[in-house]
Amino acid sequence: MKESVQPVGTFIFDEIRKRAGAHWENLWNDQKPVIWVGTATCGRAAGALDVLQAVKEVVKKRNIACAIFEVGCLGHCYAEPLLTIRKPGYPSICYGHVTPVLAENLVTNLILNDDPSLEFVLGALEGNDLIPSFSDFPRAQYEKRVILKNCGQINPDDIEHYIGKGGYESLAKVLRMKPEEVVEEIKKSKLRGLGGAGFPAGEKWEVCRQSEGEPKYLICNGDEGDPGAFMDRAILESDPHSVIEGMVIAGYAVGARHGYIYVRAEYPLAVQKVQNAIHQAEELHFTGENILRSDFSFDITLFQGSGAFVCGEATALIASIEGKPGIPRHRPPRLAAKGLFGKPTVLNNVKTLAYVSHIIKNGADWFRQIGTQKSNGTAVFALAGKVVNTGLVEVPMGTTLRQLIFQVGGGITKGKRFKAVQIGGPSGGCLPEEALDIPIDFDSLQERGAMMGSGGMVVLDEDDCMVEVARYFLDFTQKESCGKCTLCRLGTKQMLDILEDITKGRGKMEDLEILEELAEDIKMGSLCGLGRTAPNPVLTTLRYFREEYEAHIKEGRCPALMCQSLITYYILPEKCARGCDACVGTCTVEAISTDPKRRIKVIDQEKCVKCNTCMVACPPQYNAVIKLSPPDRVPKSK
Amino acid sequence: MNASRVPYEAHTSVVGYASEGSARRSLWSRNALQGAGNDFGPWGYTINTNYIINSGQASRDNPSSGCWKMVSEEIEIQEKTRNILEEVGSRRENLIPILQQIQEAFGYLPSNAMWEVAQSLNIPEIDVYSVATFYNQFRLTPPGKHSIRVCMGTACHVKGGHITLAAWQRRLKIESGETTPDREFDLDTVACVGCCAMAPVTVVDKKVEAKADPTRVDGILLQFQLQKEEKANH
Repeated sequence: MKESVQPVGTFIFDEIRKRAGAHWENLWNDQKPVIWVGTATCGRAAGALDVLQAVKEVVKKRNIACAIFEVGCLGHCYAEPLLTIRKPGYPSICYGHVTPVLAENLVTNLILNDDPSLEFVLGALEGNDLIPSFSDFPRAQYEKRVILKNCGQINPDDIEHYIGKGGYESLAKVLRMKPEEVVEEIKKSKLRGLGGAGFPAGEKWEVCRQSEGEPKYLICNGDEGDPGAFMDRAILESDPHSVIEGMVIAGYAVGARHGYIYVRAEYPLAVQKVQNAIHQAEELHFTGENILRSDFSFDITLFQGSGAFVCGEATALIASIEGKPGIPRHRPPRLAAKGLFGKPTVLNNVKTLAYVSHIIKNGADWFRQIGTQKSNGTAVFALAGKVVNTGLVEVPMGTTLRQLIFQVGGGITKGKRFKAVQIGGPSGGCLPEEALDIPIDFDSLQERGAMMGSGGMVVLDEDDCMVEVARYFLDFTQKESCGKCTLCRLGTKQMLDILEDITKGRGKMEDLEILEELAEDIKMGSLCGLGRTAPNPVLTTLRYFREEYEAHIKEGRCPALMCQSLITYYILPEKCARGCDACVGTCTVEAISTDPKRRIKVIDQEKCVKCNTCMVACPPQYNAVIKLSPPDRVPKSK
Repeated sequence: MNASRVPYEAHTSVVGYASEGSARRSLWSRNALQGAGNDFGPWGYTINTNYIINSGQASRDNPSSGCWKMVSEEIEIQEKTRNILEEVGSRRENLIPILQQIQEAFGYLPSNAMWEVAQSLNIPEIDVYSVATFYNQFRLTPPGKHSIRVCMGTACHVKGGHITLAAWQRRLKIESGETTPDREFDLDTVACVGCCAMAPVTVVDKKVEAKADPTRVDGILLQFQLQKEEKANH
């Protein structure tokens, strides 16, 4: 692009890009093999660090010349730990379920013996004739990776990888635009806040830009408190620079001077990666004083949350940064007028900010082509629970839940029957099979009583009791309520007590009406999103699964055999193998013994703690352990 | 702060550690803290209760016994706290980072450290206490040698997180939020560690253990026991 005035920062950025680009190209064009291991938190939980160690050792022992680096999360969490090897002449091959011993063999087999060990391959990263690639998977036609594109492909600790993949180009472009033009572009794209509420980001920026008061602040909300959601963690751990770039652009657009990234303390690895990324960005003048030698200065501070769910709420989060207990306040004044330290503030979610650089790079029209009329772009979901392919998925808005769970997620584990999907954590709801064909977007979900929330999606099967799930969420919100609003503080406690009674078989039919009544009152009488959405799990389960509540109350029976007070474990004498001692050996409380006369195993119901271990231990060919509800269905021993 | 005080004098009166001006205030706040059910010795400091119960009384006559040790532990807490305050910066908005660093250093928030923070930031102690008790991350009692954090996230719950918690409680014979009497383990729950695909998980000493069912609980405990025995043999 030719311009009459010397474009700000272009020169210095071109140099950085050249160097990073060369570094990145070198890695791939070199004749040396490249090995990378996914070491995000989920990978580490599955043992990725041991795999990495094994790879390093074998490379040293066998004197293999190759580059090894760590990457973040590819999203295929079900197959962790993941090891990817690229040898010149072969595609990049990704192996799943790798153990240290297997890793050693895979490295030597492919690099030294030209054997790609096809039986352990998960997929290839790019299309080729030898191995099916991830893009050939049936699920690929439903997916569209924008903000997850770099995750699991680059080293989050190396800024040159990010720049090599085209990173910070948007920032350099933005510095040549007027701030108003940037706001206009985002407004035109109709980007909606991906934290759950779906408020248009451009409008938020505009109001803040026009507000008076200096300095202005920009906050990135990474307080992903919803249990069951982990996409913000994955992005911060795998591609922190995309968030930082988005923050600087947003800061430029609204005229902010300081930025905060608020990350949960429960994500120590994300904290570490973000801290490192901030440091690197500062060194290359992407943040700090006079960014890329322009007049614009913006610095970013990492703030660690301290474990309070309510701090995901904007005003509570701000109170927390100010060093106070995270208690929400009344709005208005809006944050854009009076936010952090009383100054105009913009607060955006991690995913929203990660999107910004893509919109600047590809234009608002590109963004508007993805998704539906009212909800543009893609949605990132964390698939968890009883689904085969647990992990992260990114799909265009408008994809149906059925496609997401059965095509992308691979269906329900162990061939069980789908019962419900819980969307949006404690603020969302449980949707039944009938609702699976609704498209995923902000508005359709809300109509059904659920919401996008942060994007956690927990799949429930026939073994999950909906009353117990509702009780679980109420228990969570009741504990996390900050206590400011009476109805949220006391109302949730009352609802929880009632639900606890029902799951213990002490419920009454009129309880259901009280629950509904309380739910409406709490929604009306609470200030922030926590209280206003807390009853959602109860309301949706009452709406779609009322018969389960009734079975608990009327028959003292838990249809899903989950509520511990209403079930009992029993070993079927006709199925028990008698010679096998699996259950006796694994019982954690020594409640199972062998009947001396008939040689069958018998559970001492007094001792049994219902820990399910015997059921898992009983070999599948016998399957003699069953659960019964109500507990008095156990036949009396003779 | 009175620089000329000697440790032994410190525990002979409530105002031992405070400069004269703050004596009244600190007395009030310690009483407030005491009401919250913490382990406090006769002088209002949260130090190892065993010292106070077992040797505190005797030490009045014999300053070189356990009580002496207690005071030196207190001085260490005070010094480290001051270092942290200096490093992070004594500003009101830094309260949470300061408390986080103190917890990182000691594993919990000792009451005299919190008091030191209040002094330094020039805010009432109750403000520090309210922040310390509002957030789940902070604990007011000393932790065990190994920390056990059972994830209570949704995915973990449907895959039996509560059963795992019950297994830990049964084996360690403590409730969640408590420390075993031998100070080996402390047990707590955490809302979600973001490893939902590996459910149910337990974080043991910062390492995330995937698929931690009751049998895995026994396995982890056995591992610790073996390590301990091995150490004893060496």
